[in-house]
Amino acid sequence: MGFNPFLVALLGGLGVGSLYVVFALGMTLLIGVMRVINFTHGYLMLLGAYLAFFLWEDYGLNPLLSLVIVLPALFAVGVLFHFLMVQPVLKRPYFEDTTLLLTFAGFLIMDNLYVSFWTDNQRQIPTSYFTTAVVIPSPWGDAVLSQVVLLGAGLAAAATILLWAYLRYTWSGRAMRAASQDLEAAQLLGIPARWLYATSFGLSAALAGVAGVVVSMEFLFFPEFGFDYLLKAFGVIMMGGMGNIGGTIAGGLVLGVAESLTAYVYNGAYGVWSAGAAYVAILGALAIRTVLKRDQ
Amino acid sequence: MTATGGALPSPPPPASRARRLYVRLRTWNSRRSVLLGTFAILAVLPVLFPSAYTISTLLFFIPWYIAMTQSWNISGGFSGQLSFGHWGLLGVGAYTTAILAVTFGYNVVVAMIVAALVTLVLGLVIGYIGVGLRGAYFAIATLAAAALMQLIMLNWQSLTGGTFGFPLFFLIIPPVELYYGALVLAAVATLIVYLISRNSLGLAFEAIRENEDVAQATGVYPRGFKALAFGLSGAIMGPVGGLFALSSHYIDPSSAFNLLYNLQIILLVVVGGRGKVFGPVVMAILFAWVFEVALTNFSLYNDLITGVIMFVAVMLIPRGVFGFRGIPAFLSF
Repeated sequence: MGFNPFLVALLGGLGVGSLYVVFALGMTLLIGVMRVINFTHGYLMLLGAYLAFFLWEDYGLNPLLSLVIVLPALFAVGVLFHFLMVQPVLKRPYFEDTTLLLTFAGFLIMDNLYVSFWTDNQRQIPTSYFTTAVVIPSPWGDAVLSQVVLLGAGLAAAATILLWAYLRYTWSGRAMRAASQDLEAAQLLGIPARWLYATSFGLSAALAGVAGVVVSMEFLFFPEFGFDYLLKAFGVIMMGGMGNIGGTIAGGLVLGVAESLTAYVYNGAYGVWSAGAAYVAILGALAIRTVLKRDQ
Repeated sequence: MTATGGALPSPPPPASRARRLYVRLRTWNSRRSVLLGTFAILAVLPVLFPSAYTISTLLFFIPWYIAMTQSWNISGGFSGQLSFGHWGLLGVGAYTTAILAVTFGYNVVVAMIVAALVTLVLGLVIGYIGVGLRGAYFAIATLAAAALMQLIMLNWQSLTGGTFGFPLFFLIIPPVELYYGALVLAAVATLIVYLISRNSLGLAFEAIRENEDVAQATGVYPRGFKALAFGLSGAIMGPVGGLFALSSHYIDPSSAFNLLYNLQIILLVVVGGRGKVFGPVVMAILFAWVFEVALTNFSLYNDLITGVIMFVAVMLIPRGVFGFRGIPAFLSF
């Protein structure tokens, strides 16, 4: 039996969607715990990607092994960002707007630094996973995927399950959920908000790092990726609901499939419309909310 | 309560002449004359510096930034909608003007008025979709809307030329006329902001910004007012984009849709004071030079410098430069 291109697009979309899930989970975590929308999230992901790339280029490190270095490094950067951008303005009256403007300034600064340090060149870690194909037989025709897509999906699933277990079973994970429900009550029970916030920012950055390592193997990446992925994450979050982890997982998979099928339908003939899936997802989700009159 | 006896507090010593002068200056509250004087100076500038080069590379950007800043001020400053979508409206305005003027051969002024109507409608639609959203969520919605506009302009190749861009080389307009066009636009935008600030409309906008629920409870209907604020704000961005297209002679989806402009006007409003009339004007006058002249020498680090200024400003002067105590009343409005 021959290929089924539709099935290939569908499965490929699910694979990319799992990457969006792990990327957007970091952002959702921050929104859920401390109502901070982090515009630098896409560039944190790219930081992970560049770190993995240079570890591979300079030391020949396998990108999967480089996770051991990338994750703690990104966690540290996240904690640093917390003390730079969130902690000093925690008591301000317009806290959400202020952190939005600060992280947006951070977004511009990081974008410029990346371009000037690492140039606009497109980079990718050439792995054997990328060139090895996996054939998945099905009654409707075979689907062919690159091994790296399956690998990425596996990493994303592992990260998601670990995050879930962390929030469910550890003390600090439960403290995080308590703080997201009612900060003042959580503080009264002895939860130190400052360190909790720092930890959640670090975790969010580490999740971005996982996504970055996957991106470094799967795509040709360059600094503009940060902005594109930021919008994709917004699309996922808007579809899934703010700070809702289950919704984020569903939204990420839906967005991945939607993009993949858009590309499948238009087949590249009329430029690249697939990036529009995220924007339509954001605006569509908002329009539906407005019609249903459910305020944020 | 019984009146207590004892000596009255002694009267304050008579103020010195310098002190009286200072108090008079601080309380001199002729806002209209300050605004009119500023715009009169701006109107005289091209007479003082008549070189076409100076006008097109420096002077033009002063009223252009004033118009853009006041546009963001209406929605972001008064009604508190943090818009990250103004760069999209700018791009749509630029493309509408360029296509109408070059492809269909309309008069430039007519084209810009049509652009204003187009962005007015877009602004009303976005404002209406986003009414239920507060703060950051509205920012995301507008960002997505602007990115979608950019994508449409990029992919609608038969009309816009796609990535090849859209040349306006044959549409030569003297820089002086562009300058005065931008000045008229800036004056109109500032007038709108001034009228809003003196009107119950401004109070309604500010009530929504401070507390939407309380505003609704006191009879201010947020849905309509927020859509109106964003529509008004959008209507100014159309001609701003048109002037951008005319002054740069060539537009493509990455030059006409530039997120940096959005950040710059947010910065100007934040530093000048959100919901103020004169502060953003002063900041636009000061920073137009920084953004367009000083930074062209460091164009590689344009984003970086703007981002750092933004970061420091938000961190240190959240109420704006004119928000400090002791700033004379005729400046801090």
